[in-house]
Amino acid sequence: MTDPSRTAARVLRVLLVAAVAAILAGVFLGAAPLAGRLQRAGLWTIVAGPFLVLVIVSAAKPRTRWFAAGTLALALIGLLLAR
Amino acid sequence: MDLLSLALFGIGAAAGAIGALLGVGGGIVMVPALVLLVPLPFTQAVGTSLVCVVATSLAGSAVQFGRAGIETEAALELQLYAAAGALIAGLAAPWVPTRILFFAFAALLLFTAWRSWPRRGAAPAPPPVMRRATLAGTGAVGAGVVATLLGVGGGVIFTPILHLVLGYGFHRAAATSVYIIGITAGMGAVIYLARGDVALAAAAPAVLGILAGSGAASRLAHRVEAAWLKRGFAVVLLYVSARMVVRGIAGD
Repeated sequence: MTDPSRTAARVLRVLLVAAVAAILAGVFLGAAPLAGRLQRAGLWTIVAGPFLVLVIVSAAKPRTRWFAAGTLALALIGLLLAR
Repeated sequence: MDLLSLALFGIGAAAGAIGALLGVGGGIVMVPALVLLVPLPFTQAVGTSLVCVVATSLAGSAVQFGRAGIETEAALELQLYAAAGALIAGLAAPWVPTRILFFAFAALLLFTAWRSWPRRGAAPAPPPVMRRATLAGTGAVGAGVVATLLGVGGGVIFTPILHLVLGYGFHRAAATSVYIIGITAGMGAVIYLARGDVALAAAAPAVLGILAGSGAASRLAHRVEAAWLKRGFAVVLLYVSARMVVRGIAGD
C-alpha cells in the first residue's frame, strides 16, 4: 500500500506547480481581464491544498478518518454560518 | 513587477523562511506589512495574510511529508480541536472582550518564550506519546480561537503544544505545526476569498515569495541546530507578545 505521507507530498507538489503557474501567468498578463481570474484560481488552488491533504493522510486509519471528518464538518459549518 | 511587488515578494520570502523553520505561518509579519506598506484596509490585510499563511503551510508540508517529518495522527487530532476553537471564536467574536484576550495571550506567549529558551543541562524532552492529550486539546482549542480572532495561523501555540506538552523534538514539532496551520488559516481564507476580501495584487507577489522562501528553508531546516531554532522561536514569541500588549493598550 502506498504511504499516505508520500502521496500527500506528491499531490502538494503538483498543486504548488499549478498554483505558481496560474499566479505567474496572472502577474505577467498585467491588466488583462484574464489576469485576475488566473491569480484567483492560483490562490484557490493553494487554499484547497491543506483540505485535500487532510483527506489523503487521514484515509489510512479509522481513528484519523473521524478526526478529518470532524474537521471538515466544522469547516463547512463555519463557512455556512459566515455566508 | 513594480517596486511594491518586489518588496512584497521579499517580505513574503522572509516570512515563508521564518515560518518553515519555526512552525509559524508568518501572519503576524504579513498583516502589519500589508497595512503599512500597500496600504490595505485591516479586513483585506487579514484575508490576504491568511492566504499567505496557507501558502507557507503548503510549501513547508510538501517538503516535510516527503521526508516523513510530520506527526500525522497528532496533527489531525489537534486540527479537530483547533477547528472547534475557530468555530467558537467565529460565532463569539462580536461579544469577546478583545483587550483582555490580547493581554492574556501576551502573558501566555511570554511564559512560552521563557520555557522554549534552551538551557544547559536541561532534561531531555519526554517521549512523544499522547499522554497529556487533555492539555494539548485545550491548547489547540485556544489556538483555533486566537487564530480566528487575530487572522494568524496559530503556529506560535501549536509548536509549543507539540514540543513542550506532547514531547516531540523541536524540528518535528515545527514541521507538524506548519501543516496544522494550513487548516486553521485555510478555514478563514476560504471565507475571505469567497467574500472577495483578498487583495489579488498584493497576494500574488507575496505568495510567490513565500513559496520560494518556505521551500528553501524547509530543505535547510534539519541542518540547523534545534537550540538556534528555539532561540529564534523565543524571539518571535517576544515580538508577538509585545504587539499583543500594544494592541491591548490601544484597544483595537
